[in-house]
Amino acid sequence: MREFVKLSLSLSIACLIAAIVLAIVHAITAGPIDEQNKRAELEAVTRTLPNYDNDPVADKKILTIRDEQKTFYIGKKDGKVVGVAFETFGEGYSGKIFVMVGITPEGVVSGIQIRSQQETPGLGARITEPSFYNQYKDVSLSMKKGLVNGKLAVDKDGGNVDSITGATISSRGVTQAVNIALEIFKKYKKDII
Amino acid sequence: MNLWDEFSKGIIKENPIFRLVLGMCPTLAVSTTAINGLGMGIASTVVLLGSNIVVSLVRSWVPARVRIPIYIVIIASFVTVTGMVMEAYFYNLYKSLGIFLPLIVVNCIILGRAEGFASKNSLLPSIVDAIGMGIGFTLALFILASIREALGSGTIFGINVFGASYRPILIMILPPGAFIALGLLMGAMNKLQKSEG
Repeated sequence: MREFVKLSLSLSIACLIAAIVLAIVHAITAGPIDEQNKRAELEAVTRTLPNYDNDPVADKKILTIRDEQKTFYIGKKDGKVVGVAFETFGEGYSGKIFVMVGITPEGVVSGIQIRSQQETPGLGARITEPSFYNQYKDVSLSMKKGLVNGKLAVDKDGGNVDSITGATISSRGVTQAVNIALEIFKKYKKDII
Repeated sequence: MNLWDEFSKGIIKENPIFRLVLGMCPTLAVSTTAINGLGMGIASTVVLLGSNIVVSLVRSWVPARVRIPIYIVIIASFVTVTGMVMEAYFYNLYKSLGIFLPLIVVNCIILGRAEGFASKNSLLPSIVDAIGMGIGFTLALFILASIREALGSGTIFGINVFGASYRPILIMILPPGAFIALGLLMGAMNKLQKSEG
């Protein structure tokens, strides 16, 4: 019995100390982590929108689309809307791939950024390389070439998107996210801008 | 006890990957590119150093029968703290290591060194052991990852090494490639050690 008490006690003390240490570190780092995440989001917005001179975060719009709240960051230049950036996701090889997509009022993609993904390192994770994601720049659903059934598609599905060797599913995931973004924009353009 | 021996044993004689065959899960999973191998190696070394220090300091009052859960608590705390500190102050590095960081908890090398060395030795040898083992792990992971990246993608650190005409052997960056490369490297290490006597 005494052995039992001693073992539980020492294990409890170890866990207590660990919990205290983690709580302290969390309290110290929570602020900077939040800031970092906000900065990263703003950076993603900056990289996907065309040249703007306003504060897209201050001019953001939150709409409920398909029962889901979505934040639209609106970029303006000289008071005129030049682009809208918002996040969508596609199904990747291991989990969802979140993508920030910037779209001009004409419905053309001005840039995309991968926000988070859990694809295989060295394979699917290469969707985060500029040589892959930059090919989505300037695409739209009104293009004359490269669309399959009115949607963007990877090369294996007959489209124009060069998929990463060995990572067709990840490439499809990003393409799906961009397609969804373009469709949402087309459908809700009036509400967004 | 010779500190130099404690340090150098981790690099070749008791190399965690090639000789002890510990930590195979992260080794096989992340050795797809040279930068991943290097990043995983360095992050593991940091955690290994921290856990060896704490385990060595508390070794006299940890009851033998619950030592493993206590070591795991220590290691998991170190990994979490490392993750939070990196996310707060080294955001880009954190993002690129993202999925590897939590994987360090299940790296057997760290528990192996806590149980096999730090729990039986005083602070200084435990620190030296952690650094030596960490370097050995990082080096082995880096070599394995470079070979896989070179053959599988034709690049090292993203830089083309074989010229444009090289057709990458895709299997080398897929899971089977990890087993093939690791097996051949281990065989070469055995051969080398045998001929040395």
